[in-house]
Amino acid sequence: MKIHVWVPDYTSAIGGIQTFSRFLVRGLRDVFPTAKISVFSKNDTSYPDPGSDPSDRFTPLGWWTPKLRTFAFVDELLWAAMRDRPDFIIMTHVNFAPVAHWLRLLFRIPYVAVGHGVEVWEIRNFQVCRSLRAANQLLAVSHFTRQRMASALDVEETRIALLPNTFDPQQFYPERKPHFLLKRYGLKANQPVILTIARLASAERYKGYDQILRALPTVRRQYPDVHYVLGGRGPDRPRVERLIRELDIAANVTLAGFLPDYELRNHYNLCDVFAMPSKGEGFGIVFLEALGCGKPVVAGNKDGSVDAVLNGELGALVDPDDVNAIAKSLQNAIHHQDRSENNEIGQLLRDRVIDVYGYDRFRSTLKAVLQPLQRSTKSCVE
Amino acid sequence: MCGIAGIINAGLSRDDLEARLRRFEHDLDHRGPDDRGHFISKDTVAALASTRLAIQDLTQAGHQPMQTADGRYTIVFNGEIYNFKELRADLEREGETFDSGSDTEVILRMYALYGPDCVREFAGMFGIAIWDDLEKTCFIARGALGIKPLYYFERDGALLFGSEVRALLGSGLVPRRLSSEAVRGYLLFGAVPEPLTLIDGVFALPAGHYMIWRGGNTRITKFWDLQFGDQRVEEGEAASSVRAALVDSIQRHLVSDVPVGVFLSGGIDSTTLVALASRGTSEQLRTFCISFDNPEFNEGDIAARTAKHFGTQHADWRLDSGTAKSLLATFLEKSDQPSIDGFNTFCVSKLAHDNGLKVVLSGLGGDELFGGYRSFRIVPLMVRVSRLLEPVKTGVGELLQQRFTSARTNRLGHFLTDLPITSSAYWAMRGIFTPKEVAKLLPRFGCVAEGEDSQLSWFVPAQPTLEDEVSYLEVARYMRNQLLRDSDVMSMAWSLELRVPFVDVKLIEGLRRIPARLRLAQGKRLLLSAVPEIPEWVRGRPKQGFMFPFKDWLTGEWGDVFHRIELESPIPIKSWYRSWCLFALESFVTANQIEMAEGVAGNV
Repeated sequence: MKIHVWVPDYTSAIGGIQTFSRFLVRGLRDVFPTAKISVFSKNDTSYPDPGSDPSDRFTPLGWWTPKLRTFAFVDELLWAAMRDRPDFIIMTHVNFAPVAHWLRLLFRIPYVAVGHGVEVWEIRNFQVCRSLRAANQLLAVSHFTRQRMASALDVEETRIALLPNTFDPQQFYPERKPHFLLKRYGLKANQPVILTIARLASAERYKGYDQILRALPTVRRQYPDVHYVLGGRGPDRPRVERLIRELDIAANVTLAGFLPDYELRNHYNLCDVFAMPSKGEGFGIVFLEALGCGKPVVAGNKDGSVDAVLNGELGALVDPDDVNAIAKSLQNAIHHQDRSENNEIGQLLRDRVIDVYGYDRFRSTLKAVLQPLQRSTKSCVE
Repeated sequence: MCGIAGIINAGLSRDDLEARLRRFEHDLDHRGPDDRGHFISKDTVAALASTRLAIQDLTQAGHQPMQTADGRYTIVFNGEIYNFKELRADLEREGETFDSGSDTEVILRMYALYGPDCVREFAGMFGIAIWDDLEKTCFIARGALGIKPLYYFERDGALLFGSEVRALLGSGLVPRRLSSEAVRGYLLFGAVPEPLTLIDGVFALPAGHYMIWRGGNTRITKFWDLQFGDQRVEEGEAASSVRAALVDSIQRHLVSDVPVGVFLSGGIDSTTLVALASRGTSEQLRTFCISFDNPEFNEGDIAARTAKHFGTQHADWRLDSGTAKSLLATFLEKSDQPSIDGFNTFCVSKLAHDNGLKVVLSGLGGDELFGGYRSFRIVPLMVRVSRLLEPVKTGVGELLQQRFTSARTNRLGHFLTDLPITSSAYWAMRGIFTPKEVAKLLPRFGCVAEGEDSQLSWFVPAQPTLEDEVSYLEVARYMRNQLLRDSDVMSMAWSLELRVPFVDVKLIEGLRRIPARLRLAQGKRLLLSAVPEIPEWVRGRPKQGFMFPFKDWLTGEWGDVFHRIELESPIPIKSWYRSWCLFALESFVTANQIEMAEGVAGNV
């Protein structure tokens, strides 16, 4: 059996689609242990670390100049599919769908497309719409994305199966506040810490870090030593620094810069509450990771985050435009944070998030959603 | 500095464990002749052994294995934690008290208090193993930059680990079978690419990772990686921050309870060390150099002039062809895994050892961090040009892989048929044999010719520029798989601790934000402007490297050996380092009685 996986990013960029793509390949490996899995990445310029990557072949095409890259990527996808005749193609960005559509017309290769967030909320390209409607299987990572995707494509919601994002509970687990980070940021173990992880770019302001900064003076009135750690780098940083000065909260904020993957767990465990009151999130994998570490989360109530926190069951949902509500819910989370060695609330959060979004669940959902496709590989529909 | 080893959960009796631990101690004796010791847990699940080269706290208080007062944690440790005095002061402020003046005890206390992530606070080089007798877990860790090695082997819930591959073989618990994938990597790159070792099933714990064994299962966690940045930094500010970071690192690397020397060549890196270290120590610095009759390779005169300039006590050893040849056999015997390098460190370590030293500094790492190699210019150029040649490059590449062209041109040809990315270009430049040649050589070692390349060698985490990617590859591949591994084994062969102040986490964290344009500027300009003390005669010299006139030596009886290798080879050998590469592998297989991958025992 052969499977082709088409992804925009895999090893280099950091973000939801990349994380999802890697879990998808891991899931495919587990569901189809003997399949030859080939991954084609549009924007990578290097191979993945084989220690953590289960694919059999990886083709990075990011070295092409941006102008020619799309053309080169399409060319590679077509030739590779003609050569290999994969049993099916699965893509983690909907814009690749027209290529798969041509391949099915020519060689009857079925294809699956996954929708994440903003990219499927409005699809203006007619070709993309048509080839998505014709896909053998459509997947969405959240109810919210499914709903938006269905209306963008003008199809029934039932046409799109749910394959929620996932996280690795073995990688994200609760532990004491890490000493090396307390030392690095000059914090005390009993000091309340709020954490957000987001790229600092104008396009990412929807993640709500501005709103947390604005809520901080209010939170500080109740918790004078409260500290906000904002992880991530980007061109928006000078503006964020200005905002911090204007609000006079410099002593309560650390801009931690880029957080490498091997320090994520430690940062989640440093905080008392993970907050990202966003309004444009397709899902928010970071919520799962924070919950995996047993931390309470504060999320926005207007986007895919609602799915990640199970309609409020796993975390507080707030209006992302209401600074007072954000402040209140942060204070509330800090107030109820259990600091004891055996943090029962944290353990409950962790158990529940593993149950719903743990990797084991992802794998069995993946198996189920690809089931009909396996039948159709024998009697291909067109 | 020491040798460590351990056996976890192998289901052996106490007597049996005892015998195997003694075997470890014997095999690792050269790494630490000052003291030895071992520990077996009451339930015989854990057994740890150590041989010690005493450098911090020379008394018995620094004896290993070391245990916490409650008997819960037991540690064996190889390496140095240069910031241990600061860490210790922090702990004392928290109310901890100490029984020894060693860094080992600081590690042990920090682990007991803060758990596995305590390694993130260590500035130094290390291989550590800690047994927790309450939780019944074993923690093993290797330093961020992989200066000290740590190898492991797992089978049926048992874990074995040790500072050298040969010590693991000596335990009698590891099958002596060659790994096809590792042989393939060795022939491609000239050194076995981590995490592989030549022995099937034995792996190097990756640098910047720790492993926890619990109830028969293990899990590996990463705690550090190299990531360059590109902040806006002015040239003057960059130079002063480099200087501060260097002074700081060298100061830390001079911390020792025994005298510290420096390996001095005619190059910028070792001169930097002498320039900055001669101010940082009250005693007269001792320097060591190897020189040759062949003026093409000789740096002895320049080193002597530098030594005189800085007022060091200098020792020079003029190595003639006869002596070099007579040392080659001992050198091969001391090798842990074969490589096409290492003889230079072997010789200069002998010199320092013969002069009674236990600790020396080496300028290793300066080229990788400050753009000293030609690869920093050539690899990005190769990548850019081949991207432009896209439509025709495959055809040209095939042509360049013909028999009549040189080994280097063959590799360039292979690169043109491959993806135009940094790692492909890098290996075309640094590699030994092309994949096609390797496929023909593998059957000689009983290895299967099929199979994917060891992809780790091609992996580069995203960096801001192509030049940064080259720097990553130099640090994480060439330096780690070849230079550091050889340095460790060859210095330890003479019971000498080699310290590398350029290969320092704190130094690199200070440097990495500086954009490549400045950090990797041609001719190590940034380093030169950071250290104005470097004398004129060192500044103006073209880069030479620490090279040996190998070619001249491979005559007489050695010439016969190499002639045989050329005759037996299924592909044209073309250059001496390719002969050496095959010869070193053969010697390793024969000397360690390794079974061929397909079970063809005996001589190659």
